[in-house]
Amino acid sequence: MKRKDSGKRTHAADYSMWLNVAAAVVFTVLLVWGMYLVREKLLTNTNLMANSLAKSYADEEESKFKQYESILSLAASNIKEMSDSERSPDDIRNMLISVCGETESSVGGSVIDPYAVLDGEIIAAYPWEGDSSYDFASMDWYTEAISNPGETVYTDVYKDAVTGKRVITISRSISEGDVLAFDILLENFGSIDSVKTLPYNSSYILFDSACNIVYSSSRLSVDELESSDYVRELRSRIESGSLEGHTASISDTEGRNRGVYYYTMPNDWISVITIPVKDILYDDWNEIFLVFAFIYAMILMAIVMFTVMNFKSKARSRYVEDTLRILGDTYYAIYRIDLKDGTYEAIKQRPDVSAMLGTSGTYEKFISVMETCVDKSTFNSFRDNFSIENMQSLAGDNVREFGGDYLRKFEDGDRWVNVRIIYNVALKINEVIMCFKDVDFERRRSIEQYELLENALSTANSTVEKRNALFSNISHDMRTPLNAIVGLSQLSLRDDPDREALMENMKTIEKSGRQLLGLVNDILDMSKIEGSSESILNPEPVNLRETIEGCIEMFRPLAAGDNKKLTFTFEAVHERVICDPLRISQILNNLISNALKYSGENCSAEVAVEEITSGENSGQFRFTVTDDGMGMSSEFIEHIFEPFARETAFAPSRISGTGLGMPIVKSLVQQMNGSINVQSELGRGSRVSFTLPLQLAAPGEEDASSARSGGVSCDGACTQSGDGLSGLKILIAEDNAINMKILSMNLHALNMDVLCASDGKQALDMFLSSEENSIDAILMDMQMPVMDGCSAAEAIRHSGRGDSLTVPIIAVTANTFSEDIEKATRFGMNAHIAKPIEPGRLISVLSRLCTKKTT
Amino acid sequence: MDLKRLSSECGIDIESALERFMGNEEIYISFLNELMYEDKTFDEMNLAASCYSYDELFRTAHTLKGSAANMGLQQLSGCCDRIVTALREKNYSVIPDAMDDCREIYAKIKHVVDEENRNA
Repeated sequence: MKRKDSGKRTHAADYSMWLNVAAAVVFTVLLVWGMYLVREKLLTNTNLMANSLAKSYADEEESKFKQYESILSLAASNIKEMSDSERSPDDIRNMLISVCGETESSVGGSVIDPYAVLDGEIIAAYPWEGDSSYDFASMDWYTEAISNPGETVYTDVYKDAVTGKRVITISRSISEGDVLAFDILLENFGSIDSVKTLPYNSSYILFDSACNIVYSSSRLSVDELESSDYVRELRSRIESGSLEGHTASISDTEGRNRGVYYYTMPNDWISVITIPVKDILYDDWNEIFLVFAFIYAMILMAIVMFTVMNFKSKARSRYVEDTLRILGDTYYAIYRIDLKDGTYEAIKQRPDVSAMLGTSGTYEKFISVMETCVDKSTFNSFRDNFSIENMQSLAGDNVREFGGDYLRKFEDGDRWVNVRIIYNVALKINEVIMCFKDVDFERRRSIEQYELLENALSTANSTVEKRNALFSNISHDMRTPLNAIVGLSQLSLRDDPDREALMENMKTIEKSGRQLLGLVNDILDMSKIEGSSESILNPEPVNLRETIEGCIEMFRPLAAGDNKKLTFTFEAVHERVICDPLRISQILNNLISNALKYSGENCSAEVAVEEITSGENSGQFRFTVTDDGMGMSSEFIEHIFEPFARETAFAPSRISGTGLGMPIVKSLVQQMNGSINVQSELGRGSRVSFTLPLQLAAPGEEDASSARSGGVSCDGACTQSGDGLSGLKILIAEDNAINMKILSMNLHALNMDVLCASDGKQALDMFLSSEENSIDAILMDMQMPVMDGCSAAEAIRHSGRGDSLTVPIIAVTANTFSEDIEKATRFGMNAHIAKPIEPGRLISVLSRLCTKKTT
Repeated sequence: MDLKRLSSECGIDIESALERFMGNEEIYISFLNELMYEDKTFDEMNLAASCYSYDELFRTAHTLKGSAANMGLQQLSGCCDRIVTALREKNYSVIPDAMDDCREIYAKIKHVVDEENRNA
């Protein structure tokens, strides 16, 4: 439902914007159309006005003609009378001259040149040369007048033969064969007064029926005009009728567009007015146009601004709406409760209740539907807390928010839900909003956290208890030997015992002291193992077989003394591994000691080492110590790793030991990422096995531990005097001059050859450029510039030469941290000598590693 | 040079140091002089400390630790070890004090060596 709304909203916003754009477009269109209409109107009006003006001019011309005609007619009848009364040609001439004068005064201008044909002879007011031989009979004015008796006839414009001026002739027949004619000079013809009232730039042309110019108001001469393309086009277009429309125009001699308006007179003469189109449309138009354009621009800008503001505010309100929707989405149901009317309106709700609740209803109905969603006790509390009265009183107290968590039944199970009523001053005074939020995750998590805390607390308590128990056990176990020491010492001091008794006492004191010492050491070990966050292991490459053999050797005398058999089988493929030999020995010592302790005479114990799985770099090694002694009960096995636990049944009364051995063993095994397993049967014996993942040491690496771990003998080449080292060539890599000198001095003193390199790169280069196997050992400082010791060692090991894997590399460094030793081993170094160098140690390590020249 | 004075005033373990020099006091004294007058490690260490170049400080402190130990200068070596350890543990706040101690010890040794050389 929500999605559709947003779609509608977006559409509305789009509509509004598009509407504005459409309005702008329509406005522009209307404006343009308006301007077009106005233009049309102007042109049409001008057309009408100019046409009628042309007609009125034509009418004026016509009236002029009428005047000529009446003068002509009167003159003709006068001549007829005079001719009938046989007046002399001179009289007639004189009459014609007076007609001239009359016409001048009535029509204006010395306009006419009258002459008549009487009895075949020309009588002219102003005779011309050759008038006697003038062939009048071929002239149009004569022939037309003769063929149209009683009518005034007009010729077209022509050039007078004598004067060369433009004339027209009007003529009328007097009687059969006699014709009176007036030549009218066109230059005086058409000065109609009203032409002066033509608009500026407009012009008036009068064409005769042959489209010759009778008169023109243009400043150009008639000849110029007649010969112009403009007039030619004007004539032809008028004839063709293409200049009839109000929008028709023509281009004049100056290229200006002119509107053409004309009226054809009954005698086919055409009265033409032309007005420049520019003057029709834009005279006084520029300012109006600017004003119009300005107003248009303003309105357009207003529309654009309005659209943009609208868009922005829509975007803003959409943004706010989205924010509110997201806020609303945190609630899966929202209702408005009217406290006064006791009704609700659902703004948003789950489908499982919407069927029952609809969009609105009474609050009682709401509560009753709630009953179906929660358990009884929750419902009662809900009904009381969210009753109309309670909500009203809360609102009255200005409590803005009120709510709580409860378990609601959903289709897919029960979930924790938070209900909240919100009262806001902005709402109507008696309305609150009730909203529901799913808080299942948070609630369950806080329950979990609470349980975790409870567990942690109880664990802490039990740890304290265990610690207290441990302390009381420790103090008990320490008191026994201490009491013996103190007591026997007192005894020895007080009495005057004999030597034998004294010796006995001393022996017991010594034994108790050692027992106490063992206990203290074990306790310290335990606390170190348990308490230390750092590993207490010091791994190094060792020969596992030899290390374990060393452990077993220590017990051989003890075993032999009790007639017990002690065997060792080593079935691992790889002998050389990286481990902490001290700690492995400690574990095995504990186990072997127990095996021998908890078995009687003639029993046997076996130590076995197997390599269960082996990879390229590491393997799983299983160590098993088996005995056929007294064994343990299954109940005890459960507590075997608890400090001070001892099998109580069937145990010999005096079993020595601290009770911490197995806990220490387990801790150590765990520190080595191993696992331990105990199997036993009372009376039959026990088998303890532990498995450790151990890294394999590279073949050819001598074990570094043999000089250090107790119990393993040095091989024969180990001498303190260093005799066997004479002649060896040693490469020293050391960046500090003093240290280098000291080392060289010590080696020279032993008759060794020394090569000096001041950094790892130099050392590498010197090694690579030396003859194979010529260098007997490399003393490598760890911290050097350019290339440090580890990188140099790695490079040498990977150089691929025949001696690259066998040449002994000894790390010489002030670093004695276990990780540095381990790092040195990892990069292929065979041994480690700490600075400051002890000559003795140097000799022993070199002796051990450089077997070549000693054997 | 009065090695006993060195031993008592500067806490130098002359006996074990002489082991490295085959018991030869003269060789030991010449090495000591070289360390005090020609070796530049202490100056480099000082400079690295003042510039807070911890990498360089580590290298120089480590080197000086070794050479000082070789010469039996335990106090100086121990001081350098403190610096090396602090840098490893990124415990930079203790370095200024450790450096001060280093300088003090070095200055004392230098003073005694200078005087002994003048008297010789």
